[in-house]
Amino acid sequence: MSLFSSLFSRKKNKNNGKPSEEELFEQQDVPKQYYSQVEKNKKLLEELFKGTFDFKYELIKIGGQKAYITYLSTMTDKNELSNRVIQTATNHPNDISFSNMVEMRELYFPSIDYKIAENFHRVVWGILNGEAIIMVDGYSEALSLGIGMPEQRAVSEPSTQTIIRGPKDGFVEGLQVNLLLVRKRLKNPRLKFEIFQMGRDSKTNVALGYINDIANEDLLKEVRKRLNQIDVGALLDSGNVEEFIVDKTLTPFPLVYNTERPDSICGHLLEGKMAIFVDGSPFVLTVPTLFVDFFQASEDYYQPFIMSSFVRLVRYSSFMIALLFPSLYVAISTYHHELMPTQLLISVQAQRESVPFPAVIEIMIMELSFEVLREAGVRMPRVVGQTVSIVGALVIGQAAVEAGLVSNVLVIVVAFTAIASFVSPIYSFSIATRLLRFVVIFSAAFMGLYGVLLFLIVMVIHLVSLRSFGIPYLAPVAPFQPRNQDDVFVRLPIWLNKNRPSYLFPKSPVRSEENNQPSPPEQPLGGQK
Amino acid sequence: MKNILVEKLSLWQLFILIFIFEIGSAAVVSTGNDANQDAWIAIGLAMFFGLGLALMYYFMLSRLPGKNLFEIFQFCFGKWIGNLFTLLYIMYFLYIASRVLRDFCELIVSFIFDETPIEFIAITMLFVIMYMLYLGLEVMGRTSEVFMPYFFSFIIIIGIAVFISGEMEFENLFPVLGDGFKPVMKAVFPQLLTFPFGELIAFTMIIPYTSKFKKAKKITLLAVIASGVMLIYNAVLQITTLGVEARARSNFPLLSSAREISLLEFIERVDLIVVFIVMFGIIVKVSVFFYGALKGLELISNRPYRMYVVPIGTIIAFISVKISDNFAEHIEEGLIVVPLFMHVPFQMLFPLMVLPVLLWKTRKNKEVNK
Repeated sequence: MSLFSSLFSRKKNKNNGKPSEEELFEQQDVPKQYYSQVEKNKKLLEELFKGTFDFKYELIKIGGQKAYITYLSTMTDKNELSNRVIQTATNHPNDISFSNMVEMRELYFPSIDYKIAENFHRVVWGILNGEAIIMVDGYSEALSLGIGMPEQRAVSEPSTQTIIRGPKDGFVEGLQVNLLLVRKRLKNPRLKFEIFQMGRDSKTNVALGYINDIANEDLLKEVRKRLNQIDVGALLDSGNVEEFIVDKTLTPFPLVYNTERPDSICGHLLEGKMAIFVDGSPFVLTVPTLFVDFFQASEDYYQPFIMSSFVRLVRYSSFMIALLFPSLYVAISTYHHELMPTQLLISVQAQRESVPFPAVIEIMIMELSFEVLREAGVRMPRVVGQTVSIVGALVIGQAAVEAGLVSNVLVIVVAFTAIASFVSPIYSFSIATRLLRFVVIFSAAFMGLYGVLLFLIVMVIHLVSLRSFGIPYLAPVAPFQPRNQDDVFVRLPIWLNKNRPSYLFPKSPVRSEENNQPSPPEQPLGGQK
Repeated sequence: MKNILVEKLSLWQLFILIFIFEIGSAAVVSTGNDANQDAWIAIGLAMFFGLGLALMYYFMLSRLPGKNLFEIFQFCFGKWIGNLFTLLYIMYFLYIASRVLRDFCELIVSFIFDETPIEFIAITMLFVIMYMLYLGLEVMGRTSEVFMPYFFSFIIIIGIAVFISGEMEFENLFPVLGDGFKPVMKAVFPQLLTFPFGELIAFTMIIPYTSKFKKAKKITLLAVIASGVMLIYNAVLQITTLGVEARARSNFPLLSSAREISLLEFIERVDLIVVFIVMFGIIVKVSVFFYGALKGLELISNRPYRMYVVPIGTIIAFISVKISDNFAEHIEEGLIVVPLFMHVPFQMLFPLMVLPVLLWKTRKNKEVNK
């Protein structure tokens, strides 16, 4: 019976949507009532924060009344606290009177960011967010002063998405700094940030950013709805949010874009997308996401358009290489010898002569050892990095060939595939090919090139069936939209790119109307003689 | 919500589907052999008659916009006779789908995997098709959109590559109409008219679901013309490369022609490209027939067609294997029996029978509305 009721209550909870921060506190048995006797409040707080060393309170007198300043010493700035709060409060003449907290704040701390905490939940919430709470005897609300500034990593170059030309700053872990990096670039009053609190235990701040007169209203509603539905224990990174808001989880392709680069977030916001910032994560998400987004680097827009178009084509082909090269090797060397020119066939087969395995086993050995190396390379301490790379190069490169375990051609195949798989500007996309590569290798081993074709068709069917927030994943290729082709396979000059992509249904579809193609002056300079 | 999102086809997608559907298996199997070196003229003529058929189908659909062929049957003859017709058409569609699939199985088995049983090919292909149809009509449209550029350019490239390799002999095309019009007409009717062009009847199940039904007429005709031109190009390519007799003897003349390609002493044996063209054409063709049959079942049983994808798929795979014992039998049936006894009634006679009833009924409807 209790099982049934617990099931029922969970369901009921789901129907109500995500519990607000107040409800969360209620579930954790945090009292709500704020008393006008400070001693009572102090006792409740002591009860709640019992056992942690960093919960501190100071007894002072404000306006002749007994008052407490409570705060978490780990979350607040000590200098600010003592200089601007405690000293001012104690140095003030004691006979100034005030009728409510707002007045008191104007008298004592006019320059400090504040909130009025009208109930006990707000008090606790303020303390947890690094604010100093002032509770004065005889008043039914408390004053919450924002003086905390937790330690943060300085803004530095992004480690996952490096570029040669373009801005070098990257997002950091703090939400405020990240929002600043975006606002700094888009001086637009219509740039909005909505704040959400998520996570029953972590109560993480999540900000939804969009430009009001560009982003589509329905999309925005959908994003808000999905963010509101998140009900989770704790959010430690934006990856946690990503998994809650995707349209489909069972797919190797990422349906949400993530980046460390503020400039690329700005670009997405200007197209009409929405950005999701999660406090504590330097990776910011944008939705809706399309397949083609993963082939566009922000640097494409900073260098000449011919070059970027070429690089983009290189990216698309290296995606295909990373996906298919090993399987083509398996298929051709197992089933379709006639497809290779005779000379090449002879040299490949001569090398394979001494190899005791069928091609598929050979390639699985190499691919798996490469995967192990790759994973080791990411996880291991930087100090021992050298060792692994030397051992890896020797073992995988030379020794395996000399020992007759694999053929030379195969080393080339695997190495080239590995390099090609790193071309994608977004890491989360390149890991999709990493997984699919094994599927297609097996398919090729069983069915030859017919298997590779079957795999490709199934993959495309899967891709076109995907949607990101209702937008077809393969737009603007399928469904084909001729008007949106200016920034897909090639990048046209920026002055030709006048419209925002229509698949996102932006509110204002036009970026710039004037024909601003650069041209030499009509009159020769310096006057004519 | 899902239905509104999924079940609409854009005009461009309709164009592509018809284009690939028409070329699909017709490009690979040798067609119009009766006309000898004039096979391309026969295809052109058949295309013109095919336009007439397409117009008739569209006219029927336009009398009751938004209703597919089977719903028109029900409208004209009531539930019971309508369902009987629908059932007959379902069987016809399934039979043709299995025939098309068998074409491909034979090609793979005789050219690439000679020791593989055709059951294997049939089943693996059916898996792909079932997956696609399960995801819906729109996914089918978009998948074709992705593959269309490759499909189109590969056919063109094969011709150019054969030409550059110096294997084309244009004398093979002469004398034009050397034996008069008789052999050409013999090739056109019933074979060529029904085989790629009349099979458009399956699209009476798809055209009603296009987003802009009024423009679908123009698009359909354009697609038939485009595919006709492509088939003519294809026939010229085969005749010039192989000659009339070798073409008639070859089971898969496009593949045989492509094997003549030899460029830079490196690009040889481009079978894979042909197999890709065929494979995708076949997938589209089987899917369209399959979809028609599924829609019919949906209408009869009042249950969503996705329920039937797997069971009917297994039936198609089974029929395609059991349909004939060997390739000769399969082709003999396909070129002589099927056009006359299956295509002609289902593509022409039945629609012509329905047409007057439909006209009379819709006219009466309009009067009632007034």
